[in-house]
Amino acid sequence: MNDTQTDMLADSVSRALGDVVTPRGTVEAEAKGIDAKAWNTLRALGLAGEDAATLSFEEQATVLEAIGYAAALVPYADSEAIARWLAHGVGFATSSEEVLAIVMASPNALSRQRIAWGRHSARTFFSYAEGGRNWVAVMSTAELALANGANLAGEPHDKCGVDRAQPTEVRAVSDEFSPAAVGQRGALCRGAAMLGAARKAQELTLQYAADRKQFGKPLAQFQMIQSYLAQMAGELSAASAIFATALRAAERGARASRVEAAAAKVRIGQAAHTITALAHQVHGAIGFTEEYSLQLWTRRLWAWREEFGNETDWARELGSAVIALGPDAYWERITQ
Amino acid sequence: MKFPRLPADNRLDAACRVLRAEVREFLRQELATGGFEPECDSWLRGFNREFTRKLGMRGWLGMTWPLRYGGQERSQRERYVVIEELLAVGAPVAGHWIAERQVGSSILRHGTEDQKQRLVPPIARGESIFGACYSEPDVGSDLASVKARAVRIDGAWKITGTKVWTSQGHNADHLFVLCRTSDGEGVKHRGLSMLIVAMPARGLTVRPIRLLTGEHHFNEMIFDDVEVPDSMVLGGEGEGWKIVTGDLAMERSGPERFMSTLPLLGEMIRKARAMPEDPRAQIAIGELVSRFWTLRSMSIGVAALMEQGYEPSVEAALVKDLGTRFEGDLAQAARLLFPMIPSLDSDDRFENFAAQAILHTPAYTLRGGTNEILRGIVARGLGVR
Repeated sequence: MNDTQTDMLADSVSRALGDVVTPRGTVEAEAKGIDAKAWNTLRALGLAGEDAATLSFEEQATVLEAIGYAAALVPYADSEAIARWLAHGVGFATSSEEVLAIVMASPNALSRQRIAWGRHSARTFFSYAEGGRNWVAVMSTAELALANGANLAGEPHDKCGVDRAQPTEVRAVSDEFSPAAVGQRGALCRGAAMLGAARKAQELTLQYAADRKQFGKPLAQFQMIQSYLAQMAGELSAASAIFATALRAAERGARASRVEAAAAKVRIGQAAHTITALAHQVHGAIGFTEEYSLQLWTRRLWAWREEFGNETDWARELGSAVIALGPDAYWERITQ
Repeated sequence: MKFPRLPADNRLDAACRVLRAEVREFLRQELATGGFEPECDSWLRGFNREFTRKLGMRGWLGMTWPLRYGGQERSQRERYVVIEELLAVGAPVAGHWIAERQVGSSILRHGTEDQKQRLVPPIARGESIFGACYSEPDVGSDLASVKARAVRIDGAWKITGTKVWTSQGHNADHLFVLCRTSDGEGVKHRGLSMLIVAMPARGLTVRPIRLLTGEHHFNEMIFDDVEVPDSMVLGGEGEGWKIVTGDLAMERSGPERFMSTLPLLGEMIRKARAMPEDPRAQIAIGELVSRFWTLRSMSIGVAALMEQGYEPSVEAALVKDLGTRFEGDLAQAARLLFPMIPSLDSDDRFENFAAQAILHTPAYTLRGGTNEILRGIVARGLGVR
């Protein structure tokens, strides 16, 4: 897909979500754990369900960025970009009607496990390694005895009520669908959504700094505030740049692009830290309220940076790969 | 801010790979035969006329310039390959850095045919070293208020004033001097001109300004009625501000703004590799590599914008702000990860590079525009200034 097509997709998803998603609506939807209007909109566009499986990862990343930007409370990443991709890849049939959950754990080790979007899902997929092999298992979510729970963004992270479960089907899978590869895809999905959320947080902050007056002039005219705004722009550009590098590398397959994905999740997580801190600092106390919408995006950034590996997890992985390569080969790898 | 994705270009990518292999092979041989000693901040510290000439002979200086002015008509991305390979190993590139990075392009953009033919090919051959004379004792970040004055005489100009922080001024063959040639009717950005002084020049005194390490790279340049013929005014009288801002955009755009301490990262990796597996080292090195990789992605985007004929001053300012902080943070991470006594006279390369990196830390976030000035430029790009 070229840049123009990507822009067109981004545009149409953004416009469609813009028509149905509102900050108030998202806050209210948190009680149910899903914004049904937004989810139905994506389904109507053919972005969720069996048709969605024809989308490239790059296209899915574009959709995710738009979802992050809109703060739409929908299970697109987990159900479509990860679980459905995995199911199709390893040969499990799925139907358009069902939401699919994905868990990075063995069904034999579910103590304290959370199932993202579990309450809305018909079936749960497990991606794990055991006995030196990679596995995907699937079962009905109903048997997991879930209790409601949420992440910092108010997205369902339901608590698993059993320590171990009996899947209906288990398959040994190739490296292409190993838990490492699935987790890597998950990390990039969170990264894409974080780009959208970070961009929105920055836009809100720029607007607020222009509108809000203190000491007789807009905040944006204070040099210290300008410096914060410039720093936010730098972090946002950094996050976008490394994500683009990781996305392009992903075309070579998961294994050959693992270090790029690692670098992206680390750097986007760092950017999220700075952007959320400065966005709130510029907004003052109003940004800390439920009523004002900034929190929808900062809470998303705080939640998503943890999921599918945080900065420490991925930095360690990247660092250990670099150390194993050594001082010459690491440079050759980065510049390949 | 726009950081475009690079258009896929298989032929160019293949050309870059071949070129990169050539540069690496050359550097391997130079290192093996003692052609240079690697170091941090080599684009300020590493002055080596012989090495500069060798690069010129291989066609690796002024690569993007037209063939008829000694260039190779290659892409910005190919030039990027060469300079990042040189910086990664800490090769001595200080001799030609300013001439190659900004002066040559400024002359090509603003010069007369005669200036282009006379001044540009020697830069591409690595035989002409330029010193940039912009700052003054009372003029730092507020560059438009320069006081050095050039006064018109018959067929020439006479420069009087003092310039500071001129890198390699004591080795230079030519100087690029920003002077006031009129009061600009009260607007300080007007009335500035860029004059080119050939060395040696009568009436010019060059005095070292030693760094806190005692090293001599910077100079104070005292002009006392230094005569410059009319033919050496670049782009005509009053064009100085336009030239210098374009010049600074180039000065700020390159990978040297985040690679000054990169040789130390290589030594960190070497050290970590020789030790038992340590999560602290893995995490610290992983974070640094992630930041470096990000900066490199952004910087290649800046090169692509230049290739498209766009002047990416805001994007360059943004990369430089992030990049120069990374340079200092790398030195900090190194010393906290592997306790040591950094020393310039250590025969352990890690301790030695760490000493160089730490002692040069103040420069990173100052030279070529302080980070405060850069953020101002970015804020203007955001429309809030």
